[in-house]
Amino acid sequence: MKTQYCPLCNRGGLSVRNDTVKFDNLHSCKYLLTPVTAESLTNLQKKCQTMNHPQIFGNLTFNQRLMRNNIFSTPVVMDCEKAQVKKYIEMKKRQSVRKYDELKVLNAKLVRIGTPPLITGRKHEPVQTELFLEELFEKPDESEVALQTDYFLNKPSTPLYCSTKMGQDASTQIESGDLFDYDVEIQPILEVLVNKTIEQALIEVLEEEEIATLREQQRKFLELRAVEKAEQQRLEEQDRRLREEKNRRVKQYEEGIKKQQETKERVAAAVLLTGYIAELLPIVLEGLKISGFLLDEIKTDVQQEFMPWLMKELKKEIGTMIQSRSILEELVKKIIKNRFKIYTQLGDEYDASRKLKVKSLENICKEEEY
Amino acid sequence: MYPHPQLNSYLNGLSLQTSKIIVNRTVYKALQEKYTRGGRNSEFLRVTSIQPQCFAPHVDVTRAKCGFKQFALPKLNMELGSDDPLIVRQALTTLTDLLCYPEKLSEAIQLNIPNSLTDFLVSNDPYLRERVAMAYATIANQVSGKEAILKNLTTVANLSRGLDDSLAAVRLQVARVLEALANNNSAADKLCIYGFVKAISGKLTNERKDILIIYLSILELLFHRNSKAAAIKNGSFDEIVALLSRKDEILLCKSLSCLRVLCEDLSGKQKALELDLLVKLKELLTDKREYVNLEAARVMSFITITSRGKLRLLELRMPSFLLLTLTQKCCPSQELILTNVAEAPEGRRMLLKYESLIENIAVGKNQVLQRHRQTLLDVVRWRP
Repeated sequence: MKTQYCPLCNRGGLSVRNDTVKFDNLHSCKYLLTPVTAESLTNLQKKCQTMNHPQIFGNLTFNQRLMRNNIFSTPVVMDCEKAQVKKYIEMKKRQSVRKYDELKVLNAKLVRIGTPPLITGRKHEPVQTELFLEELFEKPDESEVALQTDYFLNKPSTPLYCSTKMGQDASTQIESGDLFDYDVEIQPILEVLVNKTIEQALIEVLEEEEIATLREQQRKFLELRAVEKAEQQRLEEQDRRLREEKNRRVKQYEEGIKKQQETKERVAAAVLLTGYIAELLPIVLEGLKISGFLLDEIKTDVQQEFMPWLMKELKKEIGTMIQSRSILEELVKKIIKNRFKIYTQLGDEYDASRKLKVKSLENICKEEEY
Repeated sequence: MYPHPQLNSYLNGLSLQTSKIIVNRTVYKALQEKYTRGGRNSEFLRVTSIQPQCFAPHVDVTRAKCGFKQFALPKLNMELGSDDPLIVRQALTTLTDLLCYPEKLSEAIQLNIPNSLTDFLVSNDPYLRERVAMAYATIANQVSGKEAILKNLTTVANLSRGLDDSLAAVRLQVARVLEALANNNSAADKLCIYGFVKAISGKLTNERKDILIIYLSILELLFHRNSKAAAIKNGSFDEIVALLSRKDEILLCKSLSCLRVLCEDLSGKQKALELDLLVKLKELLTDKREYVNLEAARVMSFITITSRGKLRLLELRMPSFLLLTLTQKCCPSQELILTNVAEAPEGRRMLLKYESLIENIAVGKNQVLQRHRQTLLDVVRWRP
C-alpha cells in the first residue's frame, strides 16, 4: 500500500479511499490535489482546522517540498570547481575517442585477416562470390538445344464490338530519345534476365542430376533386395522341405514301431493258443454241443431232410382231407335230394288223405242234416 | 488481351454518375455468386453478361491475364466456372503453371481447387482433359495433393475413366497422375482398393509404348502393396506375359520386373509354371541386351525356388548354359538359380562335376557375389 503524507501536517498515513487518507488512526483529512506553497500554508492550516483536524504540527523544515534556504538566492559554483569539472569532461571525451579508435582497429583486423600465403605450384584466381552471377563478357562454351513447345490455340476471330474507353484522353509529343535509349536501358535488365536464367538452368540441371543419382541408387537397392528376397524364399522353402521330411520320417518310424509291437503281440498270442488252448478247444466244443449251443448239425438236418418230408406229408394229408370232404358233400347232397323227394311225396299223400277225410266228414255232416 | 470481358465498359457507359469501379465490383460479385453458389437471385445476375474480347497478335491466348499474387488462385478458380470456353482454357492453363509451386498448391488445396477440376477430366473438350490431367499430375507430386485427389471419389472415378480416353495425350497424363500417386505407399494402398490394378491390367494389350511403360511402372509399384494374389486372380499375370513377345528393351525390362514381383508370391510361381514361362525366359536369357538378361534371371531365380521349377529347368538343360554365362560375367541372380537347381539331387550331381569351375568364378571384391558363390558351393557339396 502506498504511504501518503498529509499536505497540511506532513504526517504519513494510509489511503482509505481514492481521495481520503487515514493518518495514524487518529485523524483523517481530505487529500488535496492542488499544490501547496509556503504562502498558502496558513490558509490551508485554517482549512485543516475547519475540517476537524485535531492538532497541526507545522514544522516546515521536515517538508521535503520546501526549500530551506533563501528563495532569492541561487547555488553558487566556485571558480576552482568549474575548472575541475571542465577538466573531467575533457578527459572523459578523450577516453571515449581513444576507445573508439582502438575498437575500430581491432574490428578491421578481425574482418580482414588477409589471404593465406600461396602453396607452391598454385596461383590465385579471382572468383565471383556475389549472390547473383554476372556475365564476365568472355564467351563461354555454348551448345544448342532444340525444344518442341506446346501447341498454341488458333487465334479466334476478332469480334466487331469494341467497348467504350475508361478515363480521360490526354496527349503529348515525345521526340525520339526523350524518354530513354532502348539499347542502353535494356542492358541491365537483359543481364539480370540472362543471369537469372542461367542460374535457374544450373539449379535445374543439378536437381536433375541429383534425382538421376537417387534413382540409380534406388535401382541398385531394389536389385539387391530382389536377390535377398529370392535367397530368403529359397531358405524358407528349404526349411519347409526339411521340416516336412522330418515329420514324414518321424511318422513313418512311429508307424513301424506300432506295427512291430502288434506283430509281437500276435506271435505271442499264437504261441499261447497252440500250447494252451489247443487242448481246451475240443472239450469246450463238446460241452457246447451237449448244452445245445452249437446247433449247426441239427439245423442242417431239419432244413434239408425233416422240413421237406414234413411238407410232403402235410400235402398228402391235406389232399386226402379235401378229397374225403368233397365225397362226403356229394353223399350228403344225394341223401338230401332223396329225402326231399320222399318227403314231398309223403306230404302230397298226406294232403290228399286229409282232403278225403274232410270231404268224408262233410259228406257225413250233410247226410246227418238231411 | 483487351478489353477483359468482365470489365463491362458498356455498363459503365450507361450512367456517368455511377463510379466505374463500383460497377466493375458489382459485376465481379455477381459473377462470384453465379459461378460459386449457382446464382439464384436472377435480377442481380443480369449484370454478369460479358463482352467479346479482342486479342493483339503478340498475346498468348492460352494463358489468363491476371494470374499472379494472392488474388490469382481465387480468381482463376472462379473463372473455371465461366460459360466462355476460352476463359476456362486460359484459367486452367494458368492454374497448371501456378500449381508447380508448392506454396500455390497448398493454397489451391485450401481453396478446394482440386475438386473444382474434377469435372474437366470428363469434359468434351480434349484440350481441357489433357490440361486438367497435367494439373493433377502436378498436384499428385505433393503429399497433400495426393491426399486431396484420393479424398474425392469422383476424381478417382474420373481418373479411372481417363484410362479409356480416346486421346493418347490424355491417357498419358492420367497415367502420370497414377504413377505419382502410386509412388506413395498409402496412396498406392488406396489405388489397390479402388481396383486400379485390374483397370490398368486390362489396358495393357492395345496401348502405346510410352503409356505402356508408365502403366507397367504403376503396376510394379502396386504389386508391392500386397495385391499380388488378387492381381494373378484377375489375369494380370497373363496380360504381362503376353507383353514378353514385344521387342522393345524398356518394355521387356518393365514387364519382367512386374513378373518378378508377382513371382515373389507362391501363386505367381505356380502360375508361371502353368504357363511354362521358363521356356520364354530361356529365350530372353540368351538375348543380347544386358538388362533383359538380368531381369529374366531375376524372374527365373524366383520360379526355380519350387521343386517343379527346378525339374523344369533341368529338363530345359539350362544349368550348363548358366554356368557358362557365370564364368563370363558373374550375376547374383544366376548364382541363385544354380543354387536352387543344386538343391535337386540330379542338379547337384551335374554341378558337382563342375565344382572347380564354380570355385573359379570371378567375383572380384563384391561381398554379395562372394557370399552367393559360397552358398552355391555349400549346396553343391552337401551330402545327405
